[in-house]
Amino acid sequence: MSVIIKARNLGKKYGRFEALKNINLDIHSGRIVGLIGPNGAGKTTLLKALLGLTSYDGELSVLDKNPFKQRHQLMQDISFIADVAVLPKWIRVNEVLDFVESVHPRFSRTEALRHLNRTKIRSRQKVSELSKGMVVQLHLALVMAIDAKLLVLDEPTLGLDILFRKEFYDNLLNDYFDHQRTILITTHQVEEVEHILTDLLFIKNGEIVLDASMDEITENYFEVLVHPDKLEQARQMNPLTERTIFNKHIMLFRQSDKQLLEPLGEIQRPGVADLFVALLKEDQQ
Amino acid sequence: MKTAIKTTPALLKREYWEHRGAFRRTPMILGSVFLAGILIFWITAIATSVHIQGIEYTLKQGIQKMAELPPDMLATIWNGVLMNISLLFLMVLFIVVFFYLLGALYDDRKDGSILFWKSLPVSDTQTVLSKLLTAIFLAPAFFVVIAALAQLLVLVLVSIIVLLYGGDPISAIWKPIDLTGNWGLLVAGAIMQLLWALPIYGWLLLVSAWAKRRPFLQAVFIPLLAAFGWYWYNVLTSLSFTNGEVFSAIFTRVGHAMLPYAKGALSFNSRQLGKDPLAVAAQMLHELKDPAIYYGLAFAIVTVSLAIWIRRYRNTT
Repeated sequence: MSVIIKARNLGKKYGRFEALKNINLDIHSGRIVGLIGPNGAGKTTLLKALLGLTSYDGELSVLDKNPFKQRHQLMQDISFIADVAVLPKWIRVNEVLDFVESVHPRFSRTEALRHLNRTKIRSRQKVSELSKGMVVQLHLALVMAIDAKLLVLDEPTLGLDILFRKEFYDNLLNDYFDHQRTILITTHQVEEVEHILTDLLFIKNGEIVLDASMDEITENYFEVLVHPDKLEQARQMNPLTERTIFNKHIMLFRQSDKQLLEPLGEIQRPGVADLFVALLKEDQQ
Repeated sequence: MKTAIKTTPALLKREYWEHRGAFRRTPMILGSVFLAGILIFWITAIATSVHIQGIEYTLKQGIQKMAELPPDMLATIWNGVLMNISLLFLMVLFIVVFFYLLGALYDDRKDGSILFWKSLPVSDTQTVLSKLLTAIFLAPAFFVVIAALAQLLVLVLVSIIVLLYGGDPISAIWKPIDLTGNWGLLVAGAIMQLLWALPIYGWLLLVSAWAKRRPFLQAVFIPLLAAFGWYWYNVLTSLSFTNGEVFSAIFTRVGHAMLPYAKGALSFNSRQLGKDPLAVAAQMLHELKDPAIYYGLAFAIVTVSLAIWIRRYRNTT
């Protein structure tokens, strides 16, 4: 597996505001990475830097290219859906297919049509005539028809209803991901993607606060449904968080030795959202 | 290189798809307005009569009288009609291109679709140059072809009316008129127009790439404020009140770009409209000696380069 994104001391300032501070990371090919962070944490800025949409300080290479200087070469190997509904409103479906076909050497029209044929989208329709969900289907069909090495999705399903969201990720996994490609996803709806992620990146105030694979997380973080009579004992082991649901105390531990936790109660894998909240709180203390 | 050959036509097609209405429909509507104007004139002329030098003429008498005019005068009349038609087309072309360029690098930032365009392997230089190429080649091509067609149809329609009243369109219209000369003038006019207009086009692209909002106001008021500032700077520093040169440079430039057949701008007197179209074209091409054209081209290169540079950074409004 090769490193396809490599950042060293990556930074970005807007005036005096530091949107990214000293980011160091390596993303390997064949992974599905979730980039998770609160609003204003620097997610979008990081993605923009990776996609060559903004200048930056420090070192950054994506597929061995400098994204800002070589954006248009890089885009032969990267696809991205930056936001829902960024397809131009005036364009017709057949026109956007024509256009991408003539400017993108790795685009397969047959493939795109195969995806589109499963939808209600017709080729003479304008984007402005499509529903929000259909626009995303169209964009996904375009993107999946590009043989790219890296796919970047920034809030790809924001504002869509649950059927479209589910279908979106199902298509992505079944029809696109082949363990050679790399997918980088940011989303607020973490619960919907956590089962497909292989790696997690938490970002806060422009800094990476967690960079781990899902395997590492399942080995190091545990959620325990603590027995009522073990509460004091559990609290002494410094849980990251403690919450109460229906009178049950749930605590999240960072602990590499699972056996120490077993006497406390029932152990389960923590949800990404809970883990995220816990790590953000820990950081604030 | 290989991709550039495929990419450039695709980018131009893209502009055409987005601006079909402005580039194709506008000149077609303009042509229809001329034809409709003639029909309306005809219909009113059926019902009324005109008085020339105290003698009353009906339409039929007028048409017969026209045939008696010397060929010189007929040439002046019909060439004048065609030149005014083509001049109006070029004027509207300038206005259409003006607004096209103002939105060219602004609209996609406003609606977010820039993020889609930038997800494709097309460089910012290619993108900006395709917009410029659209302004100086694609849009003029539509206007020139449709204007030439409108001129032809106007003559055909008038010929039919002349025929209906027993006149002879060949001697009254087609012999005296220089249709190909008018088409030559139209093409030469479009070329001179764009040579004069290039710095304006460059400026519009720059504002379009850079403006966070209201590109129109910025495009218009920044130059005017600069001219105003220059005027008052000189008034206050040297008490001289004749510093209109920046104002006059702007107005002359816009005048040339809008009405390429006209001489200068502040005096909008079309030179000898109605005389020999090729003579008008030759006079117009004489302006190629004017150094102002070449300063303008240098300014255009600077502004377009800046627009490309800004396009790399600006992804939103």
